[in-house]
Amino acid sequence: MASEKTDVLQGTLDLIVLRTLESMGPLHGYGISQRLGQLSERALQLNQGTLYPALLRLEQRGWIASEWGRSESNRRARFYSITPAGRKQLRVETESWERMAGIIARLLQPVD
Amino acid sequence: MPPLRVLASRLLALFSRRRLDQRLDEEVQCHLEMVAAEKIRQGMTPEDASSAARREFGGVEQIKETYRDARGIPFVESLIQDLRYAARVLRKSPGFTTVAVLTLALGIGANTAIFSVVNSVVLKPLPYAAPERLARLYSEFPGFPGGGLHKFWISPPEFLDLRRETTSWESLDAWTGATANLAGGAEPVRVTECILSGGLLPTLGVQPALGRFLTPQDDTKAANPATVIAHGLWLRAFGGDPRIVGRDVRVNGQPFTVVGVMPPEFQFPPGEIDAPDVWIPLRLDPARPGDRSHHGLSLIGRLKNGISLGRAREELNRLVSRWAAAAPPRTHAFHPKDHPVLAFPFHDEVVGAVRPAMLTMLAAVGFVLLIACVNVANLLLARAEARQREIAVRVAIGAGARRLLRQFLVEGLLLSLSGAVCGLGLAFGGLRLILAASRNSIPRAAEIGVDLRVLGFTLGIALLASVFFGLAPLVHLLSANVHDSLKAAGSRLTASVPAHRVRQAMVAAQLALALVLLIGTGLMLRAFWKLQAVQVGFQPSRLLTAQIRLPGSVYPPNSRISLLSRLQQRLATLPGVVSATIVGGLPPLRPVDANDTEIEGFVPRPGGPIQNVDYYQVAGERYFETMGIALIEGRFFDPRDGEGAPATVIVNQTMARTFWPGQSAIGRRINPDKWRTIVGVVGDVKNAGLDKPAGTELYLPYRQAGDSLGGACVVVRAARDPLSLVPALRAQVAALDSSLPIASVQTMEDVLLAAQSRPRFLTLLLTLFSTVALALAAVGIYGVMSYSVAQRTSEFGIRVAMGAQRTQILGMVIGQGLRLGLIGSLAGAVGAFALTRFLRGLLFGIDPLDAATFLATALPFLAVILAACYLPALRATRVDPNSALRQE
Repeated sequence: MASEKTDVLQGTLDLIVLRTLESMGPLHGYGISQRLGQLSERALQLNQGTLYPALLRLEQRGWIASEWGRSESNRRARFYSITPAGRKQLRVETESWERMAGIIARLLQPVD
Repeated sequence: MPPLRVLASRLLALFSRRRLDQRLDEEVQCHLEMVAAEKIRQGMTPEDASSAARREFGGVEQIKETYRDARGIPFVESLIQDLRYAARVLRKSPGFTTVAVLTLALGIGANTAIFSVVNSVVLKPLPYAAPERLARLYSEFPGFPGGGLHKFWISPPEFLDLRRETTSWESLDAWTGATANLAGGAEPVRVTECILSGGLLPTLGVQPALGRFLTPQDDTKAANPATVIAHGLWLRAFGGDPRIVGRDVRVNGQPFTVVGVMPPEFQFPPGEIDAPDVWIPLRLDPARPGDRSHHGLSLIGRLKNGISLGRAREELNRLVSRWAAAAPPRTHAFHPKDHPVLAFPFHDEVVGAVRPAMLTMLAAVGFVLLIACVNVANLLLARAEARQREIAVRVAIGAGARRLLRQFLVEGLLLSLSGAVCGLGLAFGGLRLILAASRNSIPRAAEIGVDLRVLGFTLGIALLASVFFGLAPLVHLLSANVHDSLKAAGSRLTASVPAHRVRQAMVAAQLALALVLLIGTGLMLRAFWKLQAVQVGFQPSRLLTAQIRLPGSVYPPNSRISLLSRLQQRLATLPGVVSATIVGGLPPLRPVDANDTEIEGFVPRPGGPIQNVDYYQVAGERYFETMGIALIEGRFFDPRDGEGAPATVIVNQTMARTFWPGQSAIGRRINPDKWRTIVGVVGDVKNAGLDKPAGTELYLPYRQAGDSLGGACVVVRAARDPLSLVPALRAQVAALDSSLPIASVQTMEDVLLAAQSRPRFLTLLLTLFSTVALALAAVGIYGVMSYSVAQRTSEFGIRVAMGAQRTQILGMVIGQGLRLGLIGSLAGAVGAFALTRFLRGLLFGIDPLDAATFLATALPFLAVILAACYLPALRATRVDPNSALRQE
């Protein structure tokens, strides 16, 4: 199935979403996309719509949960929050990311 | 593969698609509003803000599509879509759907019904423990005149020898059947008994419903006589008495203790028409087992675990050779060439006789299903043409070829599954009819029913059928350019040439199939009629028959003769009775005796007859006169042939010709039981079945044969309706001895009918199936011709406008149909030519390639085709040129 490819971008997107929800608490889709924009300082230029299939994937895996709530402007919106399984996954992902980043960094260090 | 959890949530999503769609819509809406609100705060106009928000969000519909794909299982979801679409399409044309479903129901139903018969009778293992290790053993006399005696019985001493010497068998047991009187229940009843050796019931491994079964301990002369009774008899004669075990009954006057009741479904020997009611021990005396040349036992063996039938056969051959070498000359002994022992799988022996008939029926219904499928395929193909624009629209908005193909398959599937459901209903009804019609003609009929295997079969053929005709519209798709048809304006959609060809080819094929079936049925019918016309050797009309049995313990030979003599006198003087007699056994179907019989002055010659007679018969007062058997030479029996008078015998024509060819048999002497003088030669009477030669037969006068009259059949010739004599017959028997049960009271015509119940049953079913096939094929060609005429309306309009005569158009259309019919008939005749040889074993007196039958079937068949083409042709002649041309 086409939607199952786990390229770097998608993996990164998942990681950022989980991290965002962990540090910021429950957020609606727009909130998450705003935060994404701030964090990456607009470097990560993806269509905001791409976020929603990603959220669904994470929810299907049980890493985030969602429920209806009220936005700051008192509009009905769906709020996403990280689950314990999600926190665990985030730790695992973070470690492997750091390990990978370390390897890459060493590889790219100019040879003396 | 995604984790299980994801799969589960996707599966769940299948059932809440609408809710999830709404949720996404709302989320997207909310997102866009929030972005727009932000932009407005930054100073944009609401319109700009809203479109900027959409830009940033990306393609809303693409995102939704991705979302849906991630959410559910796309394949299943589009399948559900296809199913709903197909259901809607089929609902929209109820006429088409009804015809298609009914056609399929007919085909699938017939197949299901016949398969459940085949499944229960032929395929299912026998209901015993480890039935695959059971084998039936026979002796044979390959050198016997007239083709030898095959699958013959085994004598008691031979059985004991085999049981003692063989090592391949875990158990080896013998049984024989008879009828008996049973007293001790509410009233005396006539029962079928199975006399068996002690190990037989234990080796079958079926536990009794009550008490115990017979064991080897019961099978000795010293043991208390014990019997096990059938469930049916227990209910019938003992009212289901729960304290039956231990009760004393009398079987043929001998006391027996009931030790057990078998469960309702138990039957041994299996596949017999007259299922046994009681099982009693054989009680052979190993010291005096009886005559070695008296072959009357059937043998069943259970192979030891790990021993193959082949190895057991080798051992039997070795033993037979050893015995043959050790036997003194001119004694009866097993011999590798003259008297071998053979073993066959037990299951084959039970169902082997009906297998050809079963396979024939299965093939016949297979043909019916094929024809039904062709009809539905043709319907679908015609519809695919009518739906060209719809299909083109679907292609235009992005349906791929695979999706379209799947759509057709799903439509086919829906049709065939609906057909299967209706077909199952038909099958249940049909099975009842089959069971009612097959009474006494197929073994294991009680086991026939629908089980999981049958349901699987039904589903299987439904799926196969759906693929077959689901793909039919594809022919059209492949041949027509869908884009062209979208461009084509209005109603001028014509059938593509290849689709038309395919449809004609399919109709020709289905005509061919129907003709094969019809020719097969025609052959069976001719053979059946021939069977009806067989000379049985007597006049069966207005004869009433019944069976009585005189137990030896109550009636020693002398008193038997006097009782039977009084009975015949009483019956003969009844009003409405022309004459009355008794006889040892009723034609036309009796077990062969093949008794060694000394013949005075007999000189054996190689290849000539041996001193053996196929049938011994005991004849009562005026037997030949009552039956209407012809006198060829000499005289019938009369009062001169009484007890103490010179011993006499009458022989049939075949016997006279066999032993005294070209000479008179009168005055010759033979020794069936003692030396007797032949006083008459009578016409042959069928004994081995209507389809077999009569065989040699001799008749003993009953007054000189008291020993062999344990059982007798009463035969009464009535002046009018024989059944009106039944109460009087019962009353006369009861007046002589009220303890004598009387059984099988029926007219001789019914006896003859019962003797041919299997060919009648098979012929009946084949006739039914081929009628259905013919009707379907006629509908098929009618449909194609109608369609073709409708397609060519404007062409006919032009022709008429140009001056074509109505008769010319009629001839043109009929000619087209007839060409199809001829092609189909030719192919059918060739097919029948190749296939009818498989019917050879079922055809009595008819060559499988009988030209008269081929012709006699093909001509009416062509007439039916003509009739089916006539209506569409008539319609073609009624085309109004004005309106037809205006449509252009």
